[in-house]
Amino acid sequence: MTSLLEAKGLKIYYATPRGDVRAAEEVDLQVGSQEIVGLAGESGSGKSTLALGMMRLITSPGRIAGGEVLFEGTDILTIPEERFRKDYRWSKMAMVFQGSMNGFTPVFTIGAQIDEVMKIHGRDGGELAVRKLLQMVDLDDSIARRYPHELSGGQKQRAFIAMALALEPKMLFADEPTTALDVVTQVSVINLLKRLKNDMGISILFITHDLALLSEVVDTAYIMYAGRVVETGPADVVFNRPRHPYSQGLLAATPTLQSREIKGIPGFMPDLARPSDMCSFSARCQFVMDRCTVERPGLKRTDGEDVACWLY
Amino acid sequence: MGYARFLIGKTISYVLALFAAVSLLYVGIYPSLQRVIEGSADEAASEFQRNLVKSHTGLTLPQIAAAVATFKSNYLAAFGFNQPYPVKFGLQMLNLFEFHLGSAYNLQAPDGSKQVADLIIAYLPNTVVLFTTGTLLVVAVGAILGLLAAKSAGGKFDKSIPIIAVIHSSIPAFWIGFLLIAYFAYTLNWLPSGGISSIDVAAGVLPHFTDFLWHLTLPLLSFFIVSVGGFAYVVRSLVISTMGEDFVTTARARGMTDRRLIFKHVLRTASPGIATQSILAVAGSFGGAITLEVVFRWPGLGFLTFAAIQISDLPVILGTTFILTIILFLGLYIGEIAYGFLDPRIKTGD
Amino acid sequence: METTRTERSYAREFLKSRSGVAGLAILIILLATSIYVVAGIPSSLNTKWENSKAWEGNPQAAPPVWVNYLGVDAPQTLDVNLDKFTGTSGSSSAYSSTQTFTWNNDVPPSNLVLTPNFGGAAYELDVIWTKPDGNVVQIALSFPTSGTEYDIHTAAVSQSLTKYIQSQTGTFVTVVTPNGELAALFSNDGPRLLNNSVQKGTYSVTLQILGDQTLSPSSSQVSLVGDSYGTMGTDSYGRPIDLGVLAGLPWALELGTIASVLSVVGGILWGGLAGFYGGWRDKVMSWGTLVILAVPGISFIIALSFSVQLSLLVEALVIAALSWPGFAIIARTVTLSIRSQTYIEADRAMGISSTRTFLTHVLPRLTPVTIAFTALSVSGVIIFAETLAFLGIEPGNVITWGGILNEAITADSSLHGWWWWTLFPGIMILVASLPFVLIGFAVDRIVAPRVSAK
Ligand SMILES: Nc1ncnc2c1ncn2[C@@H]1O[C@H](COP(=O)(O)OP(=O)(O)OP(=O)(O)O)[C@@H](O)[C@H]1O
Ligand SMILES: [Mg+2]
Repeated sequence: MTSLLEAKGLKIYYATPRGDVRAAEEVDLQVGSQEIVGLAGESGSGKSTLALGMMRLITSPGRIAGGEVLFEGTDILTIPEERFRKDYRWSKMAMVFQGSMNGFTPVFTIGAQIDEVMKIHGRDGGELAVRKLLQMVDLDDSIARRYPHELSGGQKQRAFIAMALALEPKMLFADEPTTALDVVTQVSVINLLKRLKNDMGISILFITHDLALLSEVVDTAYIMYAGRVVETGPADVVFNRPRHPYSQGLLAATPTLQSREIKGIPGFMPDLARPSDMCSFSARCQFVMDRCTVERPGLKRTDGEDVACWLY
Repeated sequence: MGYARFLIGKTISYVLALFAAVSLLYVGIYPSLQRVIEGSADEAASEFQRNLVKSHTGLTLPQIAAAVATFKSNYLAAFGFNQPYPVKFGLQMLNLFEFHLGSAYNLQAPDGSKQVADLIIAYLPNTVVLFTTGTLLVVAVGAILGLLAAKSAGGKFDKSIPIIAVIHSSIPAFWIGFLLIAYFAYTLNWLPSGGISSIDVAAGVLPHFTDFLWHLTLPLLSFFIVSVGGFAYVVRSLVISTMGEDFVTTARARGMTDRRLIFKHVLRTASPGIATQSILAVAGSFGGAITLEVVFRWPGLGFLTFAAIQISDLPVILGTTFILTIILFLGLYIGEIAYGFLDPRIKTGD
Repeated sequence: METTRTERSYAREFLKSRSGVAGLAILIILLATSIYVVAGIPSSLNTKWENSKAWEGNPQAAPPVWVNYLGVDAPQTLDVNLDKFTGTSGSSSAYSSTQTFTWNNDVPPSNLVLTPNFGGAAYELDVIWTKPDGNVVQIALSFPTSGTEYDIHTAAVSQSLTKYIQSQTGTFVTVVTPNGELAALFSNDGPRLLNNSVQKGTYSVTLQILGDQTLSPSSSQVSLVGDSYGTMGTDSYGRPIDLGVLAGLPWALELGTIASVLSVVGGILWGGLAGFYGGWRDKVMSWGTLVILAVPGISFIIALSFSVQLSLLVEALVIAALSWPGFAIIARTVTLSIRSQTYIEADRAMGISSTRTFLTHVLPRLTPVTIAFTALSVSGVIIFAETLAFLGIEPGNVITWGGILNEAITADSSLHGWWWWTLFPGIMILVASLPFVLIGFAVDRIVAPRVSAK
């Protein structure tokens, strides 16, 4: 399977008074065409940063400190901004942002904004096209005439998904698209994502905390911790037999129908502004060994998946 | 509709506020106002007496004196003299709002009338011209400067805006006027040092108009110089904080050009805030505009006030204060309406 | 990961801001100068300032002394002191004292003021004026009074000089300008007298006092009034601008501080409470803000000054009472955003009284803004008060920069080219308000970090 989108050794740093916060460090990630890839990790592990980086949306104080992002084989970090804007933004890669409820400009109606994005990319747009998009996400036509503040959080989120689909992108980033939604709507969004993949052939990078949800839809899963990928592989492997102690902890912290008991992971994520040579999870790991505190493990292929842990 | 309800509500609240502000003014000027009314009554009475004598009504002197006395007490009664305070207050406020502002001690309108209302009518248009063109210029140019600064946040141009704002906030308007006169009028001899028209203008509308503009330039420039920096700074701050909002990132992701993003989405979103700030700016620069009239001998209300202060012409001072309150009030009201129009949260009645 | 910031870190950040530190430095200098003024300049200056007679000895509308370095020939005032008198006393007494001085300017002085001092009654006073080339001019005064100032406008003085001019030029001059008379004292003799050619070199002045009783002459003075004065020149009454500029400082600072503290604290409390309470109380309080906002401050105070006697405190109170709405509006907006945050909801849920919540949660968050506003507002008040003074509204018995500028415009100073009269008081307004603006902007940038994108 050739990959549609590929990050290679991507580094994204935020400049702060305390030094660079290394929110993504040497990240390799691949999304194949017509594939749904899941990205999980606790809050602050760099998931959104990674997605924004691949969309070329990192702004000051952040910067891309190294690595490349290949889209259909082209390094999109090096092409001129104007060409990237015209040929890639939203037309090839779109994103449903974390907190998309604030993604609409507050002073224009929903319809006008969906219409606008089609027009600036040379499509016809028009009322009919907008209505079709809204129907796709189960929204009433009248939503088009409303202002963002007149919509509920869930409505806004779905309207934003509609806007993301306006140009039929090949790649969709969905950064926690289901937060703030009730369970029923969550399910319908998940089904929508599946439909997009199957019917329209869209590839999706799906970011969430909710591993249970993730296991429903994704083909491949990535687990991130402190700016690095610590485990990746086919979804069934990662979710059924997680190997990295962090992944195991994360899974144990997810409520499932089988076990109602939730176990958190004790301790905190290390300060991303203070890089060190040890395994970043060593301070919280119950299997910690001497080696973990002197040398960082790299991703290593074992049993059909990659794990960064000295246990394997 | 939401906006109509907003309009009605705001109008009621503003009219009440105007009434309250004028009442405050009334309390502040109460003693002077009584003196002014009595003075005006005397003036009107002697005018009445002159007419009686001139028109040979055949009345005897005591009869005339009695008639004049009745006239005067009627005049005072119209202003609520010898009545309880609430009635007096009501009558005098009524007279104020009907622009019965009495007659000046010494100052005269160009047509010779000593009525304060006539004086104000003669001087008001010049103030309105100077003040509205000035404000529009400042708001338009200040908004563009602020936007450009915010767009290149951190750049050289952006860094110069706060500096200009600092200097502007520390200089009184009238002093800028002094400097400009010294340079453009007396050193370069390019522009007139003051006044509103030259003596030797060719006949015709166009020569008079250009002459007017020629005189308007320096006062307008002074007003512009003192106000634009602070306003640009405010716009810049508003725009920069708007640029930090989520919708800007998503808008950029959607493939908008920077120009479209800033001049359409950001500016439009920040505009209610800009309208509010314009309101405050108008209120703040008001006093400065008045003093500029003095420096440039621009025959507007500020200049009239200054002349009145010089010779303690109390009626004129009270009259101009009242009118300036109304003008300021109108400026604020227009700003508020604009705010409501720009913010969809109000338009849709949220 | 939002870390809460302590006062310490605010202070540290402030000290990092170059403009803020510059503002602080200027402010310290201004305060020191104020203390010097209050301690060093007697308060009687305020009355003396209004008394135009008191300044006659100074050159009028004279530029600062340093214009001489800019290529302008503007002599400074030269005082020739005559204190060692010799002579006979008795029923026919005669005393005299001689002093020399050097004059190297191309132009004569602008006036000559003679102040003789002698005890008793004299019947004649002569000034014997010897020019460098040896020619002598004599000025005679009958029945002089001790301690009086005689200058070039005194009839006897100008008569003596006109007579001298007539004797030299052979023409009878009816009207001689003071300049002409002074030229007579300093120029070449003969027909070239009025050509304005000044003799440079050593002059000698002899003062001779004649009386018919014993007199006790003491230090007398011939003052050659120059054409430049002090560091900032003089106004058309001869009052030194530098003195006025200094004397205006404490007043401006005091008024500015009192009024702005009052208005900012009042405005913040008013707007903060309005935003905090919300509901109908917010509506009423915001309306109250609007009422005051709609009052045009300058005009209102002008009108008020005809009913109320202004003093520093009254003026400060009135300015404060009129200028708080701007702060209230901003404080209300800030409070509204604070109110939406969860800990206030939590307080409410726990039944903690709202006054307490306001004091513990809202007010501390408003403090940094308050400091920024206060600083900015001091400059606003100073400019406001000077603007009023410029329009002629100020407490009696104070010297203000606005007042000096008011006199400048009345005297058409720009038309006459007396730039120093408007330049220095204006610069002083700038200098007095600048530190507050600098500090205010610096604090504002720290407390509202989003605004300053780096
Ligand atoms: N503008 C910024 N300046 C400094 N640090 C930042 C900035 N944005 C993000 N970070 C830091 O980068 C790290 C990664 O943030 P990111 O938003 O990518 O996390 P996330 O995995 O998406 O978390 P969440 O699940 O809460 O959305 C965090 O430690 C965060 O503090
Ligand atoms: Mg995130």
